[in-house]
Amino acid sequence: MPRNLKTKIILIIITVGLLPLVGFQVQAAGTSNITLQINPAPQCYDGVDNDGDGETDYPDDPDCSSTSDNSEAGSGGGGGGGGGGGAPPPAVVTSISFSGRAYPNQIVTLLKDAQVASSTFSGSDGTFGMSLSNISGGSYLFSLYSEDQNKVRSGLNTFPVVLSHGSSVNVSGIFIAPTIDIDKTQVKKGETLSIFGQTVPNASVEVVVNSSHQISREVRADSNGIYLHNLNTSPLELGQHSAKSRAETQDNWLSGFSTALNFQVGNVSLPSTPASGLSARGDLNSDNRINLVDFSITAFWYKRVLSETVKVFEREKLNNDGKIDLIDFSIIAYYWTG
Amino acid sequence: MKISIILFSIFYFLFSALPAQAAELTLVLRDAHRDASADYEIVVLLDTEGQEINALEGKVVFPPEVLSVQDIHEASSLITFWVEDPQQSEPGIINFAGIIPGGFNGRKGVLFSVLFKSEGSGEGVVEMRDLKVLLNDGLGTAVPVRATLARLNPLLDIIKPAEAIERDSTPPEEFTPIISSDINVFDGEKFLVFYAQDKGSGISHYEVLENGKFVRTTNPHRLANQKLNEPIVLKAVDKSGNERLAELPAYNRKTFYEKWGTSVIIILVALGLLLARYRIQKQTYNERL
Repeated sequence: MPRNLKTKIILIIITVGLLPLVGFQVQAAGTSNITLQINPAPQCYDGVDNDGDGETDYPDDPDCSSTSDNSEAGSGGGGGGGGGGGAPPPAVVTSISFSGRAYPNQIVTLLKDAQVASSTFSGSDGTFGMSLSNISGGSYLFSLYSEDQNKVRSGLNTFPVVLSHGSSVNVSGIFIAPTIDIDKTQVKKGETLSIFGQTVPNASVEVVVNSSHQISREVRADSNGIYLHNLNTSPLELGQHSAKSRAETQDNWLSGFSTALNFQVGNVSLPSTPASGLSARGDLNSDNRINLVDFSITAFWYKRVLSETVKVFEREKLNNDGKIDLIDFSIIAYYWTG
Repeated sequence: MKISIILFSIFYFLFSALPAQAAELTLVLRDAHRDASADYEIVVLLDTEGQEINALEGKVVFPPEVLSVQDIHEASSLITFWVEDPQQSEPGIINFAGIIPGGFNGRKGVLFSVLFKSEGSGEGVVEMRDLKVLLNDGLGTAVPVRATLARLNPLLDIIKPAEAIERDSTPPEEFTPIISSDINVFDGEKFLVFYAQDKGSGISHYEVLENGKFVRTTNPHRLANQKLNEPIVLKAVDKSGNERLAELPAYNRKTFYEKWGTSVIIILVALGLLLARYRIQKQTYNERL
């Protein structure tokens, strides 16, 4: 691949690492195949002197008939000519589309540079697709997330992408990790802890409990994608543990792991607050969104002496160290919804 | 004029033991071929080494008697929101801090680049200090940071912030300001939050229309019109001077008095004067009779 062409097509990096650009299908560890279909900008609109004649793109290169012409070298015989005038060349559109699987009949939200750009409903089988067009060439951070039927959010699936002007990219094979919730924040040793959530219908779900020794159990989601595992806590030691899950479909799509949820094994059981309690972290204005408003409120107090009321939300919704610094912004970035 | 620049390599260990995994920040020196007014360009790159990072901060330190900053480019940055825009806060120090919602895991993430001009002969040491890199784990866990250097790294060939910067005629992208209020900000008064992106030359500044003229502002902005009975117009300006306007319609309607206040007063005063004159004339006329 010529280097100059390489600079013009797409660099896309998923959260597990840099994707090679040779071939456009990548097997990332612990995830499904994410496939990239990349259509670079037409030669007559890519900013490169592809035929080496000293002229670049339409209308400077006489061999280009329009911005959508994919050859600067001309057509060889024929010689074009004639005509003159005519309709303006068709507009070249820069676009990107995303498709994959989430939770059935739920909203999937697409963020562009951390701000909501689009959303769509997934189908009853959990599949979704959406696209953006008429965006500028440049580097972007696209993120996708969904909410399950209990309004528990998935983590963000993030895709740094460099889009060249006029190119179109299709990112497919995205498999949003299952949601996860628990019915107790503290469970009496020996009692049952319910671990549940949602994924695509009929998927096989691996529930992993991190303890002194890792426990892994497999359950099957129902036709609505709901899964439930009742964990016997007898083998667990007193103290803190965490649980996470991932799903695999019957056609071998494998998701990444969900967010890990912490719970205590103790001498008494304490019921869990709704999962929204978890997402309340970072939600400084309590609007159930973590977005630019929360960022701006935090930025207002960055490196300032905190008022008494700000100390309260810093304690309850940020990292409780009595000051606003980079760690608080990191917490907001983690729980970001756009 | 002879000048040599040394990119100082410092290893930062935030933990006592040698870190198994450390994020790496690299200063890359290359000729400032895309800006005739500058002699050198130093690009700051992030390699997360397999970890998911969502926040970082630090300083680029240089000798101001040897180097002067001509420009700082962050339009191609992987940082989504800057807590502190990379800029020279005091001579010889460029502070930066920003976040990446959702996190970033990659090898060659561009944070920003600095265009330097040499100010005289000598030796310039450019280094990074006070680096902090945090995991995307919901806790803000710090990871060890290693600062390294590279010269004319071929990795940079893929970055190409582009000659387009010099011919950027594209305005900032569309953006939507948000009106908000919070007891902890501006004493509970309404304020505006906003953030625009410009993929060409980068955002230079914002201006808000208040009292009939545009004035520079920063995020968050306390609204002068707390009644929200006039449209809010905000302008994002990129470093090439291209502008993008964002307008929010008036949230509340003006009362009749607010809308026609001055006109109503003038009319009432005029009517009052006419009435007074009429009465005086009438009284004078009656007295003559």
